[in-house]
Amino acid sequence: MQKINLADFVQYQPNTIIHEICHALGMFHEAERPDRDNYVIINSSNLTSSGQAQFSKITQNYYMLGAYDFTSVMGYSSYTSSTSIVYNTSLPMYTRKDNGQSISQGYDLSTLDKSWINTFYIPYIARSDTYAELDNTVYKPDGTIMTSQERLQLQAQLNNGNPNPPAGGRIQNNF
Amino acid sequence: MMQANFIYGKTVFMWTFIAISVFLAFSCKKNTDEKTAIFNVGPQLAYIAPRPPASPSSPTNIPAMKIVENGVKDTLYLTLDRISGFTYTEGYTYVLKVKITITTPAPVDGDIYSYALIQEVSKSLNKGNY
Repeated sequence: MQKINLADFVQYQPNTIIHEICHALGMFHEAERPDRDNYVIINSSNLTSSGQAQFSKITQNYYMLGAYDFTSVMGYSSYTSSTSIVYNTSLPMYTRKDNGQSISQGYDLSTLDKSWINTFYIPYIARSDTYAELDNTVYKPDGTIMTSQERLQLQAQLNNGNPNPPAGGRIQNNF
Repeated sequence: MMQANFIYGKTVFMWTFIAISVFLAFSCKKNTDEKTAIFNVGPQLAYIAPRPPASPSSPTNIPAMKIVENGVKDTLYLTLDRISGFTYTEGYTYVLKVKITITTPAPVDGDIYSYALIQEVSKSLNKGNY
C-alpha cells in the first residue's frame, strides 16, 4: 500500500492530485530525465538543497517514452511561491532551452503520460478466484483500445491459454 | 541423475534468489545522514506557500513555525507537523534539540530533511516581539 499525502487545497488543483498518483504508479518528474539538459536549463543557483533534490537526474532503474514532454503532468511549472524550494520566488526554477520561456505544468495526463501508464498497467476486474479477467476497455501503449479479439488473446496469455473466466467469480462492485 | 539435476536446479535457484535480493537491497537503498541541531522557535505563526507541484498561485496561507537554527543564517519555516514528537503552541518561544535526518534521494515532492524532537530545552511565554 502506498500513502499519498495531499494538502486540502489541492481539491482545486486536479493536476497536483494526478501528479502525485502518477508518482505512486512509478513516474518521475519530466525534468529528472537523464537527457533533460538537452531540453531545459536548470536555474541551480536559485534552488535550495530541497529544490535541487527534486531536479536530480534519474540515471538507473527508469523507463521513459519519447522526447521531453512539456505537456506532461509530471513537469513542474517554472515558478513556485515556496521558499523551501527557491531562494527568490520571482526567478524560475528552470526554463525551456530552445526559447528560454517558462514552463507550465500539464493540466492532466498528456498522450505520453497515458502511454507510460498503459505500458505498465492493465485494468482487471476484481474476482474472488485467481483468474486474471481483463476489463472491457484495455488500452494499448499507443493509446488505442484493444479489440475484443486482442483482449481475449491477452487474457488467454495471462491465464495459461484459457480465455474464458470461470463463471461466478466476479466480486460485486458496490460503489 | 535426476537427484543431481534437482540439486543443481536448487543451487541455481538459491544463487539467483540471493543475487536478486542483493540487487534489490542496493538498488532501492536510500542513503541517510543525521545531525543534531538547536532550533529557536518563534512565538508567532508564519504563513508560507506550498511546494511544487502546487501551482505558484496556490494559497500562501499554510501555517508554519519560524525557526532560527543555531549557527545558520537563513530562517527556516516548517509546517506545524514537521518536527516529529513536538507540538507547537503559538505565543511561546521554544528552544529545541532536534535530530535532522537527510535522506537522498529525496522523497518525490518531499523534503530531503526530516526532523525529530530530542529534547524540549525550554519553553517560555513570549511577552514581546520575536
